[in-house]
Amino acid sequence: MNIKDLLSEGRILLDLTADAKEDVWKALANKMYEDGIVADVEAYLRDVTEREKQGTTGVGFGVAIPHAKSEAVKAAGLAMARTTQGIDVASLDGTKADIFFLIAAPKDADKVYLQALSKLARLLMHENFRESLRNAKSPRDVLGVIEKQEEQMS
Amino acid sequence: MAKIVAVTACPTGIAHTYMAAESLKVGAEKLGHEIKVETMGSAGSENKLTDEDIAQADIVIIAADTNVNTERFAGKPIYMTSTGIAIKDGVAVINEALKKATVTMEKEVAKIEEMKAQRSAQRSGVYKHLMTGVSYIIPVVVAGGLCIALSFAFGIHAAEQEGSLAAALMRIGGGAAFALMVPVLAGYIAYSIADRPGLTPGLIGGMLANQIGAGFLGGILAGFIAGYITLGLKKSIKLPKSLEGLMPVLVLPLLSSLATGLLMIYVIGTPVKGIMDWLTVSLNNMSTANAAILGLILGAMMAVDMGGPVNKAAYAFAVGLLGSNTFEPMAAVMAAGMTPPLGIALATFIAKNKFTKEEREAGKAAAILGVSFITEGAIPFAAADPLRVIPSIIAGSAVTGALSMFFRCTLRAPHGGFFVLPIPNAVGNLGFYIIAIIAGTLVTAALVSALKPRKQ
Repeated sequence: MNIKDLLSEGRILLDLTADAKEDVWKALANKMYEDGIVADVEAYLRDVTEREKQGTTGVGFGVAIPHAKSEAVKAAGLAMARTTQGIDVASLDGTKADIFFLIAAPKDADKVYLQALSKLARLLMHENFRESLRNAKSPRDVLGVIEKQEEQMS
Repeated sequence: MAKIVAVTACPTGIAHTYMAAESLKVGAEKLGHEIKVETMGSAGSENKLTDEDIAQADIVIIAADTNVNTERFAGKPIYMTSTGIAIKDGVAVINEALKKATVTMEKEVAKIEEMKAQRSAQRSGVYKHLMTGVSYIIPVVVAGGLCIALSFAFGIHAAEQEGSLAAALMRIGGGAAFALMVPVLAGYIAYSIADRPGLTPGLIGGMLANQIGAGFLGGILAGFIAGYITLGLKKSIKLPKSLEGLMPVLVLPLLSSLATGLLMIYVIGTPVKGIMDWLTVSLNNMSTANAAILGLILGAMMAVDMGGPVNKAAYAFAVGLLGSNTFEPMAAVMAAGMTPPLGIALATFIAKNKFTKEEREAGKAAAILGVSFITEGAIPFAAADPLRVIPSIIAGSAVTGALSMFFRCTLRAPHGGFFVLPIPNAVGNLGFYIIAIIAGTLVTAALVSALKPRKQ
C-alpha cells in the first residue's frame, strides 16, 4: 500500500488559513466528500472527534494525523493540509501543528487503515521529509515528495 | 559498529509504535550501527526478531509504554525506554543504550525474578490452578517444617515431654501447620478455579482428604472437584433478584460443600487413600538402588525446563509427600534444583575464556540464584546455548538427585536453598547432602566447560 495512492492533488490543501483543528478537519472532510470517499461529513467528523477523545493524534514535530474508521466512509482515503500558522493540537511534544493528514476508512477496513497510519507515522519521522513537505510549492510537489520518500524506505 | 535489536510497543499500537521504530532506525543509520526493529502493534508483531537476530545482537532496546515480555532476551544487555523518548531523539537513545545496557549481577537477578513472575502469570488451566494451590502451601510448610526441625534440636524424643518447649514447637509445626497443608492446598486450587466461593468447599474437601488419609493426592482431587462443582453451580443456579444475596452465603457454600464432601467420603477418599498408602510405603521401603533411580528422575526433571511445568511437577510431588512424613524426595528435589545455576556459575569461573564478560557477570547472578534454590537462574545460559547447556545441567541435577536419595538425605522445608542448611535438623544427613550438591555442581560445571567453544 502506498500513501501516495491514497491521496490526490485535489485533496491537498496548501496554505490553508484556520484557527482551530476542527476547521482543518472540516475543510479536508469536505474535499473527501467531493471525491466520493466520505458519504456524510457530519457523521464522519463525529467519529474523528470521538477518536481524538481517546488520545491526541498530534504526534509531534508539527504534525497531526487525525483519523477514524466510520460508517460514513465509502472507501479508504487520505487528505492533507498545510496551514499558514501552527494550530494547537495538544501534541505530545508541545509543538503546534501545521501539517495535517486526515485518514478516512470504512468500518471494516482494518488493514488498510492500520497500514496507512503506520506508514505515515514512519514517513514523518524523517526530518528531510517534513522539511520537503513544508517547502513544497504545489500539490503536485507534495505527491512527488511522498513518492520519493516511500521509494527510499521500501 | 554494533548490532542492535529493538522492540517498540504502545497501548494503542499504532502511531507511536511505528514512529519510535523509525526514529531508532534513523538514529542507528546516522551512527553507523546495524539495527532491526520489531513493532508490536495492534496488527500483531511485524518485522519479528528471529532467534538468530537476537543471538547476534550486542544489545536489546525496548521502547515501550506497555509491558513487553523479555524472556526471549534472557542474558542479553537490555536498555528500556519509552516510545516518547525514542521518538524525540533516536540518536540519543541509541548512544545511551550502548553505554548503559550492561549485564550486572543485580540487574540479572532482578530480570530473572521478573521473568519468573511473567512465567507464572502466563500459566493457564489445570496447571495454573495446581500451582496456585502449591504456592499457598509453601509458606505453611516452611513454617511448619522448620518448627518441627527446631523441636528435634532438643533431642529426638524431647517433644514427648509434655509442657516442654520442644512439645510446643512440635504442636505448632506438626499439629497445626502440617494439618493445614492439605486443606489449604485444596482450598486454593478451588479458589483459583471458582474464585472466592471455591474456597469453602475446597478447604472442607481438603480437610476430609486429611481425615480419610488420602494425603496430598486426595487434596488435589478435592480442590479440583470443589472448584469445578462451584463453578458449575454458579453458572446454573438462577435465583430471583431479591434472593441473589443468598447465593454466596448460603446456597453456594452449602451445595458445593455437600457435593464435594459426599464425593470425597463415598467415592474418592478410599481408593486415593490406597494409592497414597502404597506410595508412602513403597517410598519408605525402597531399596537403595530404587531410591537412587527415583532421585535421578526427579533430579533430571528439575533441570529439564528450569522452573517450567516438568520442574514444578517434580517439586509439587515432593512438597505433597512432606504431608505424609516422607522427606527424602524433597531433599533430592531442592538439591537438584540448585545445581543448574550453581554449576554454570562455577563454569564461568573456571573456564573464563569460554564466556563473554557479560556472561561472567551473569554467572555471579546465577550463583546467588542457585544458593537460593531458584533454578530459573540457569535460563539465560540455556537460552543462549540450549544444546550444550541443557544436557549439562540435566546430568548434574540427576547426579545430585540420585546421590541425595542414595544417602537417604531428608529435608523438612520445601524451600530456602542453602539458607535452611544451618537450621538444626532441617536437613537429615547434612554432610552427605552437601556432598550431593557439590557433586552435581561439579558435573554440570565440567560438562559446560568441556562442551562450550572458546570465545575469541
